[in-house]
Amino acid sequence: MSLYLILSILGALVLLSSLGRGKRLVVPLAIAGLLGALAVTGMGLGLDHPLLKGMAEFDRYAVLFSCLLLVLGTLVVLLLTNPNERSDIPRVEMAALLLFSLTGGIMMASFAHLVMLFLGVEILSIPLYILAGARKRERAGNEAALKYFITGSFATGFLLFGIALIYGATGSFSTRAIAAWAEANPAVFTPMFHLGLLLMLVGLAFKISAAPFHFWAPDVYEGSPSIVTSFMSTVVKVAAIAAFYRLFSEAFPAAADAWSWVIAAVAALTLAVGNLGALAQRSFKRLMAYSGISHAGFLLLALLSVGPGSAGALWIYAAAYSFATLIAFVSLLAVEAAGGGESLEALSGLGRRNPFLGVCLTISMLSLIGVPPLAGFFGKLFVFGNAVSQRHVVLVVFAVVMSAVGMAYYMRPIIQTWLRPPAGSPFQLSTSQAWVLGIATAFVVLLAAAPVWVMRFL
Amino acid sequence: MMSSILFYGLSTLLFAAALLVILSRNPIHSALWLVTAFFAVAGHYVLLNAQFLAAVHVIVYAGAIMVLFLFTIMLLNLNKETEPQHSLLVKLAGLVAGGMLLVVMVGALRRSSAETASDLATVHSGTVGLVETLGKVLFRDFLLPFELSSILFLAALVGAVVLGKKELGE
Amino acid sequence: MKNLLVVLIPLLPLLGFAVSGLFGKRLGKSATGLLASGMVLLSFLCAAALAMLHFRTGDSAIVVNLFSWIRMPGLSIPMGLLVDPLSLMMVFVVTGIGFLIHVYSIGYMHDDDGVARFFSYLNLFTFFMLVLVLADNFAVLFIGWEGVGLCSYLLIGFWFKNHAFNGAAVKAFVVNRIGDAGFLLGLFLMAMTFGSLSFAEVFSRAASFGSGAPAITLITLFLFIGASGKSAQIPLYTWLPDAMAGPTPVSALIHAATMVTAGVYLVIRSNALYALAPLTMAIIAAVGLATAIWAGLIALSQRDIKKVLAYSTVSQLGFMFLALGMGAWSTGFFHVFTHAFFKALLFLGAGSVIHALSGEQDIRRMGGLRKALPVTYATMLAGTLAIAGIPPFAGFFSKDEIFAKVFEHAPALWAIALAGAFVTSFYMFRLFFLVFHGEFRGDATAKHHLHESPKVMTAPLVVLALGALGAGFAGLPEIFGAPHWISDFLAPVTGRGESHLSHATEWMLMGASVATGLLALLFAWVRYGVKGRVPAEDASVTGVARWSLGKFFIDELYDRAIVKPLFRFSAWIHDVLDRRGLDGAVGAIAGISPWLGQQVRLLQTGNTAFYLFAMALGVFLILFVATLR
Repeated sequence: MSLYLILSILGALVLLSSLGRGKRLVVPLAIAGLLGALAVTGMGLGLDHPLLKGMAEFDRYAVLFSCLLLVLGTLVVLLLTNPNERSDIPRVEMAALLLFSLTGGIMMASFAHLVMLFLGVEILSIPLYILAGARKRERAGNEAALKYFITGSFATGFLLFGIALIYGATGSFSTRAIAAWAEANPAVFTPMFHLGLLLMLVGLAFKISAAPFHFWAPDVYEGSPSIVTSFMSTVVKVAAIAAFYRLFSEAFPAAADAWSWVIAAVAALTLAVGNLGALAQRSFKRLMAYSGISHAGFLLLALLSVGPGSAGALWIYAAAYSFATLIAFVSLLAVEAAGGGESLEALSGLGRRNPFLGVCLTISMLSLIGVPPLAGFFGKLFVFGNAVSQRHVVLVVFAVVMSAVGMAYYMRPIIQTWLRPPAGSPFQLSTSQAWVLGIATAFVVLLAAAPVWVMRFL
Repeated sequence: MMSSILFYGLSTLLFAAALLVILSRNPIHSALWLVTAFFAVAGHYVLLNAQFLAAVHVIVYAGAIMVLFLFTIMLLNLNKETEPQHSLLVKLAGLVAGGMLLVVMVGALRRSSAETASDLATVHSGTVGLVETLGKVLFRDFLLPFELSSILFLAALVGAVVLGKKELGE
Repeated sequence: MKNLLVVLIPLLPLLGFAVSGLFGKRLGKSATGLLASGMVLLSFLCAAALAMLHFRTGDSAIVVNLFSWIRMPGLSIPMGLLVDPLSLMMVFVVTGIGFLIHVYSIGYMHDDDGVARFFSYLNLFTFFMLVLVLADNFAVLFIGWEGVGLCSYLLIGFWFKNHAFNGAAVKAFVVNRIGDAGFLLGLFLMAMTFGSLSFAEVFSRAASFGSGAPAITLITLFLFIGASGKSAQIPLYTWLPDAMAGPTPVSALIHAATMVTAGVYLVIRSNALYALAPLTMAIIAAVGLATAIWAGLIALSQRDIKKVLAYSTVSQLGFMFLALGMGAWSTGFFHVFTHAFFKALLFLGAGSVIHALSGEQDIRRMGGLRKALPVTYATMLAGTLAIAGIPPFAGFFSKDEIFAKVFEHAPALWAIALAGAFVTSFYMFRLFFLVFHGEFRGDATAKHHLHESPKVMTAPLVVLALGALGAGFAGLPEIFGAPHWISDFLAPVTGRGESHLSHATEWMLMGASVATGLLALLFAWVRYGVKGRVPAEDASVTGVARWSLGKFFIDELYDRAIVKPLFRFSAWIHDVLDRRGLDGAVGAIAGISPWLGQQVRLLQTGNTAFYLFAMALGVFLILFVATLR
């Protein structure tokens, strides 16, 4: 409860600060608030409240994912201090919208009631529809926002229809009651219930950009300002997969037969589309969009194997993915600020132009490949391990092959960075960029030490 | 018996109106058919004993939202000529996708009529749809989502302002 | 024609994998086995044809570029295959011995339900191993490297119902990852330093660096970390003995004859680099010798027949690295070659024993089996004599050559290595006498059940025994006046090693090693053959023997001190990660992926209506299948 309050009040405060001379204080205020929220979550202060009863539950899963979302949110907001970002939306509104969206994400990580899930999804998405169009005067920006909005509404329609059908079948919105109903009605196919379940699956698959519901992602990522893209590919993806896992592990475990094959098929398709699509890209930003799609496939693997340890595996994978992706986007922002574009060639000789950035980017790419001992390796290890223990061997072999394909395109930024002649003169990172890079890289490296802790905590 | 007749009548109306929304060439006609569809939905609410919801639906959708639509159409001066002409392929694709979805959903749900009818019977009786009941549920059980939805509206509001307002010097 | 043959060599086992994997159940057990074996045999014949067609004329190498795998400015990596004397010899070892083991498996796995799966994995392994040895550059080699690792996990965990087996697979996985990390770092560094990963380019560009250049030392060290992971050297050897949890033919093929020698192959292949890194060479020699002695001492008191052989493999690999550390590339390879014969033979023989005893692996429950298993007895004797270095068996020649090279460079190391040879001979004859001589120590039902294995199993044993007897003649010492065939054949790749030892010294060395082997044989005969001693139960073992029995408690040391966090998480994976390896299996899809990537890109039309159509289609398909189910 305290978390919802802090974040929504923080969003409102940020908006109010635009009134007086407080504009300069916006980012510090938001950061302070977010760190406060992180502290509150970490210490478990007032997370539970009678009002939450039956609506949301801050169990360990929710706390761990909220922490991850808050850290990611803080880092993205920190990036807002840079004056270089091309955006027609003032920083104040941008910060407020990001905070609202984050609130939605936290609702998605902690819901215990489908209404809360739906509200969370919408609160997460609506600010992003707006932010995607932050480059108001550019066609690409408008196109991104409109595409995101239209396809997003389409997916929301499926989600909502699914929720309605589930309610019709079970008579409840509460995940617990739904799980109990599913256990009491173990029929192979109960039309309303299973149709609802599958439609909800589709709605959430859209949010994590799983194929064939992924088409929006590359276009929207490319058209949005990089800072918004970094938010979409980290916070939004983590929140969506957290909700996805929470829904299916808490409400529908008894009906696993009905959905696990769908997830498996979607995961396989997503892996293929994401990894193969990324191979053909020339723009670093689009490459990262496809990378996001491919990792959605890996994350779905974690969902396939609900059981002891799978939530931890999901968290580690999500954390590893999102920190590494954040590093990639900060690199992109820095290169853009230094006059480069979004193409891979803009990274040429980055290692010589700014060695710190080059090293961070390399670590990030290596982690995304899954090279030990970086965080990404442990993510893959646990996720694959879980999937294998649930006998999804063929899928895991496919995923392994696909991650080998992944190596081919993640190597390209590294090669550009180190083996190509510099595309420009050396440049400095802004203080906030350096901080974000440092923190995110530290996470990518140090998360390798965390698996035991995470597993024990969950 | 009576309610069945009403149900099927309203459903036919709804279906026809919805089809006409997308088939009409003239945007104004589309909008008007949409109003008809909204009224048919409101009729369904009444059948389900949700009078308050029916009233709100008419006021909000048929009233406010519809007016907004019409304003937009008129301000942008949309008419038959400016409507983009989709290629046959796009139309066919839409038809195929929609049709298949319809078929599969009907196919799936066809089998469910018997089992859930009894559960839904409770809806028809008592005071389920009255304002008082609704209010109690909304402000007791659903207080948290109700309050949180304010964030949603605030975000949408901010968005509308940010995207809509003119910059200085523009 | 030649190119086609080159491509067919790895492709045939891949075909076998696909067919037995997809249709194995329908084909039936024996048909699948025959198919899988046949594919490997065909592959062997292709290699033989290639040798007849090409290498008789004396040309050095064939390079076949299938397609461009990674292409970008600054680095382009073709999917290239290279056939030169070194890779051709490796192909012969892999397919030749692989074929025998395939045949043997038909009999050994006869009663198992997963025969089709088993053979498909074996064929897949053969494919990746062939990719590894035929690679034309380090990136393709890495594909094979990861692929054989993957198959190794798959096969170790083949009987995945048993929990300890899964643990072994996980252990192999994690330890190998450490090695692979080293290998990858080496590759990156290499790409940065030389701007290429192709063997020819890297080696020619390396020549311009002076001896002992830091970059080269670092690259070779990283590669050696990879090699020591795969080839089970100190400190990464612990996974190999545990890997014995897999079916015995797997132990023979992967964990004795082929995959574990990949590390040795890597070093021989990169000899041009290692020759420039004296520091790395010294480290390799030290690690190799230490591993040889260390693992030999552990093998002295093991009670599991396969564990003894596993530690013996580790020890023999140590000898190979010792030779490489001396710069004796062809000598190292010679030992790989002979070792493949006798170690595969010993493992298959052990498998035959285990088969006869219905799964018993403890040598304390064996004894006196020579009457019941005459063929196994005779062939195992050949294998044991070979590994102990008794002339004229294969091991004698290769080991003697190693010892001569070591003596030439460092006489002190030679003395230590000789002690290692003594230990080797002793534990092997200990095993041999405990298993085949004396009285049977199992219970009555087991005794009643004793039987010789079927022909399909004994035939490969006989062939391998002939190999263990004759393989050594491929590399006769100079003093015999015959040509050293292996060394001559490999000369284009490894260069020709010069020997400066006088004939008298060579005779002396040879005499010393034969005497050592015979002395150990005698000791073992007195102790286990005549006195009939049987290893004591665990509790009563004290002193040094206890340390040896406990494998010097290295596993415990690792557990408690060095990699405690690692193993704590490994304990966690224990119950979650079931059996299968993860990474690897790169190659198969790499060819068509750029094309597919293009198709994915084309689908991204930018048309929102199409996106919605695709979504609706997806929903339809999901619901459609769901309702049909």
